[in-house]
Amino acid sequence: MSVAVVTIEIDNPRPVYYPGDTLAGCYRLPADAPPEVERLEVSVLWRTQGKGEEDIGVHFFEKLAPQEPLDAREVRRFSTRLPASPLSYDGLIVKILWCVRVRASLRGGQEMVGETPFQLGDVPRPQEVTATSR
Amino acid sequence: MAKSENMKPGCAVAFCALAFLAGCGFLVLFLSQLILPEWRANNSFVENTCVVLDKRIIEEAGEDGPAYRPEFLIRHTVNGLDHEVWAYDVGHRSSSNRQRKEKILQQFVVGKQYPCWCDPDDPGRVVLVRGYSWLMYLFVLIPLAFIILGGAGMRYNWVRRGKSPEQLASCGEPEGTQIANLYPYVPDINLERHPGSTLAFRLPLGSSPGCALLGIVFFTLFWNGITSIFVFFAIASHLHGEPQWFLNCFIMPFVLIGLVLILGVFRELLLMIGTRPATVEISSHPLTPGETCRLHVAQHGLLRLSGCRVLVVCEEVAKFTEGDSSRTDKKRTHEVELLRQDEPHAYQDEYQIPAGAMHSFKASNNEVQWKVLVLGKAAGWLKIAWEFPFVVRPPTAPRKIR
Repeated sequence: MSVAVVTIEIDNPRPVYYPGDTLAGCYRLPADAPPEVERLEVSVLWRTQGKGEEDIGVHFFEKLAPQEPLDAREVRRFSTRLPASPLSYDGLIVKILWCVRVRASLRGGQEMVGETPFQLGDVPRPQEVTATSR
Repeated sequence: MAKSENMKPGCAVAFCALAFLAGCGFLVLFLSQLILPEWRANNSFVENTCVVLDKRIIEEAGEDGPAYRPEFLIRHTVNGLDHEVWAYDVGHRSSSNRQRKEKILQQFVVGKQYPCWCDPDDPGRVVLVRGYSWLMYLFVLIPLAFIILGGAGMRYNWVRRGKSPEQLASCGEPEGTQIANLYPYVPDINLERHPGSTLAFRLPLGSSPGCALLGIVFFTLFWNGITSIFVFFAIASHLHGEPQWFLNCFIMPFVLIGLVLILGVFRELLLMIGTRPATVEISSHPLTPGETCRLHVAQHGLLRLSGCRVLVVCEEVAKFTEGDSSRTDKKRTHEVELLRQDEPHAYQDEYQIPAGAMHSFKASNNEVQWKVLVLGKAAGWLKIAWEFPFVVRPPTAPRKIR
């Protein structure tokens, strides 16, 4: 079971990021988050959307496995240099979406997930072409 | 996030363990009930002589109707002691074919002496025939499949337990799709070892005709191999005077598909012998959006190509499951026809990748493919479609130009 309550903020957000740019920001758990956080993970990843089964690729991954209860109000930072590919793509049946995702796993299997999308590159949306060779 | 809720790794481990244990159980059962007794009868049983005192057909009720097996009352002597037992083979195998069992019955005459083989540990356990039921051994593949799939599933899910999708994805990188992590998920087609004779590089064929032939031959053998078992039983039913019409009707479409596959094998063979794939050469590779390159296409082979077309296309490819089957859908986002001509010949032209085009992309289930297509008809009726994939990198990609 997932509840999206984690807050993620990207520093100086821009409509488009390019390969090699640094993506940095911070995230925090809600003030009323239960203290039993087993794992806290932040990822910068892409995933596909569309007709095909979902593919996922993680560019940046950081995991905190606290020994003591986490301070839910603590603001944690992340920073990564964006890769050359794959670029964000809004295709016909294949879409590539980039996002920052934070996942907090609680004891008992409950999870809190937050996700903030961003765009890598500026590939325009393609038009469908009728195949003349099928 | 995911399209479908997958089974949790913990449950999946338990499910796979169940399949693994079931496979082990059936394998042990199979070994103890069939393989081991047959092996012992063939290797450990001691030869003796016996007298046939009586014979009969045993009828057993089965799910598919009655089943029959022959039995003989024999007397044999071990260490001075007479033993009288009903016996025939070690497995007590029965079948629905009563006629065949009666023929076996006729092979042994009451009152005559025959060789027999008895268990040295249990003289009451004796057989009149030995040998192996090789066809039955094929069924060992079923528990083996459960063991292999269950074991692999257990290992796979055990590794996944307690890990988030992001952690799992960060562990494994797709094979062969990254060049020193500079262009993740952009496929690598290294053309350094494929120099062209006219231009810098020769593009490799997407799938070689030999592979296509091998694939269809393998599938044809597999399909017709399985179908032939049922055809064998259908023919046998006619020969024994008990035609099974339902079986005949049931296997008809499978036989027809098998025949179409055989025709397909001949088609591929004819294509491979009669034609040689066109060669496509390119002046620079990999390309980037907005870049112009030269393409050289030449045709070879014994059969003349008619209606020849050369296209550069970009396609989105999505793999998905629908019900129990895997499907692939393709959508074309770019297509440029460079040539449409009847006479086979060599051809060279310039081509520019559109400035805003998407780069090549390859993940497990989704792809963006760039390729040169050479289409035509050999001997006027054999349709040919050769694909020559190439790579388009993101705009910042450094490239090799000759």
